[in-house]
Amino acid sequence: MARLETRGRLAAAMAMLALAQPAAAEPPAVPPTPAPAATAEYQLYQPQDADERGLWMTVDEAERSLRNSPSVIRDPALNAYVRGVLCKTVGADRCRNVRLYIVRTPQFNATMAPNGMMEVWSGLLLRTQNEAQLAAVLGHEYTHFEKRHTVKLFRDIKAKTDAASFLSLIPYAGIAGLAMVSSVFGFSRDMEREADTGGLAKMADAGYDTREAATVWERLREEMDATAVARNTKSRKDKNGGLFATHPPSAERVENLRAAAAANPGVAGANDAEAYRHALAPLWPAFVDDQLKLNDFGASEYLLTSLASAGWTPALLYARGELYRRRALPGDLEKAVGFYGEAVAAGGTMPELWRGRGMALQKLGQADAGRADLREYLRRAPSAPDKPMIAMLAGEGS
Amino acid sequence: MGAMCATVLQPVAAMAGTKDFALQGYALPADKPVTIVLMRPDVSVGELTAGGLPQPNADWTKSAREQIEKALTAEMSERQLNFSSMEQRISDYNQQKAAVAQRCAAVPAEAAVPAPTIPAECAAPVPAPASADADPELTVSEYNALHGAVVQAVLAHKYGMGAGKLPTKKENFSYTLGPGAGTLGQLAGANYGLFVMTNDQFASDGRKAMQVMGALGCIIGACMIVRGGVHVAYVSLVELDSGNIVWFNVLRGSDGDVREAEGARTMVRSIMAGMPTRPGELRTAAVAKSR
Repeated sequence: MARLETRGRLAAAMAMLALAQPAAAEPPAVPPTPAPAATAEYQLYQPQDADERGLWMTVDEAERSLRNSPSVIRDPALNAYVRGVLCKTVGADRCRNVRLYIVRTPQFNATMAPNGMMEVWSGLLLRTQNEAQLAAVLGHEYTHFEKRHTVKLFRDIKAKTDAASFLSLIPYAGIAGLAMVSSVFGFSRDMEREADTGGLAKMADAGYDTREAATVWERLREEMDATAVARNTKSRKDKNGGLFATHPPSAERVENLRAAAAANPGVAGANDAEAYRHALAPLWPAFVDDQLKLNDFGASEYLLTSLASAGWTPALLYARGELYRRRALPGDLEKAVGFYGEAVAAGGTMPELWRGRGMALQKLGQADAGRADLREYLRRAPSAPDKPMIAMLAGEGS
Repeated sequence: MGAMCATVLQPVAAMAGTKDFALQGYALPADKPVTIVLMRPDVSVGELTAGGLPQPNADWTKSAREQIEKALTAEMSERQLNFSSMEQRISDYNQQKAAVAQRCAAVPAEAAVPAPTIPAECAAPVPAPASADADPELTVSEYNALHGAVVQAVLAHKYGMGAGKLPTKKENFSYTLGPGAGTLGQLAGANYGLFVMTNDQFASDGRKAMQVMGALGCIIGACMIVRGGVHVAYVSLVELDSGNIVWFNVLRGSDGDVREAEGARTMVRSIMAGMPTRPGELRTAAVAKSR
């Protein structure tokens, strides 16, 4: 439900449901009712009552906008891969309920709406290191959907806001109203636990190593720490709010997942890291670039370093060069020049390597060396979109 | 105290009203036929729970959408304007494309038989009904989104909803989607586009009870004004060649129950009253203010 605000008039109901954000979901009742006119899209589930049909209608409208959104990544290979992981995790039958949209946005998130619309954000794909971790998140989301959490949450909010409103008409009932609000949040935290448990069971059934589920949240906590160190602030890892309103990557949660994995280990060591890297390879430079633009040095450095656990590839070195060049604190530009150089030495041929190094060198006062690099960039990328600007920097008339 | 109470208990619905803006002195062209294409209306109908949570209702929304489209069709035929539906246009195009795809599905060539000749229609893709090589559905949703963004500016700067009115927009009404909107015209064979949004949240019994209770508080001097149902709609007429919004109207308050034929007709009549006509044609209602 995270991004449903795209429809300007989405009812407050939906705004409220954004609480259940990075994982809103539910399908109708657990015993699947074979609806007579079930379309291919709604194989297993049909909305059951007025509440649910209203919610479905609202998200159907949202899906209309999403379907044609320019933010959706339509790359067939990546879509086939992520869909394949989902189907492997939840089973081919259940998979038919899901319409998958991979959205290019550099945050850690996946959502699932009550009608079977699933969003996976590119920032999630950048953060999960292997197929098992992706399966953990997808299984979690699907469990929300299967357990009809959105409609339950909606009813709960409705009941509690009704009660809170009537109470607010009675003097001194404000405190009771507050209690109502916190219990709405508590309700969805129970759902989180349910989704964690259900997702882990699905992972195990699909033959993944279930220890990877805890790793996802552990790494998220580490990333939050890294952001905090770089920004000299307090880590948000145990905070409830923003994107993690109901998804705190809390220590307790990691512990619970660890315990659940010990009880239901799945297939030890089965994480399909190689298949995952291969599937992501064509797109991840773009994903990294989006991440760098967030101006979150700590998190970006953390992510690059963890991606480089198997060695610094030219692409990773390029990303790191860009990261340091853009931060440009004392000493950063020299480091950036070093990273670009290492990338070239390691056989990197991306024209942008010379552009980055040229710009960094110019800032360091090495005008001639910088201009030479920029000219090399233009030679390697003659139709670059930024050609006129770089030509000017390189001292060539455009 | 009693008087105050009475004021509070006044039904809000009595205060329905419209406020419209048009391009300075704009009139429909007298020398060529006018065809208006209706973009898929953005309709939501639901119920406001006691706690003020709008609850979407699928059945109400479906019937309101149907009734509003019928009422608009009736309105346009009264005005003797050609009226078509973009949704229908897109679905026709998609069906045509699917039919061709089915007919052209590769027939397995048998060994002794020479390769089948490809029927002419299969050699080239089904031409999109517009010059745009983009998928018509994509074009339409892009313009829907663009129009939505422009309308937000209109609502903010001309109506002061959610922001202040802009002094630079005070004297004139000039908003446009840009000449690219002509693509929509080619797509639908129309020279005007009509965009409609309606949002109706009917007060549930619980909400009504809240209103009464809040008002009763006035007797002991602790008034609590609780808002009843929400009813708001806008229509926007776009000249597709230029992309200019030539007329825009907002209706606030309930002017008929849009879930029923008669109510939808009443609502459409009042919101469409000030729509520009051809020069010299009688207006069906008060002359549209040209500001």
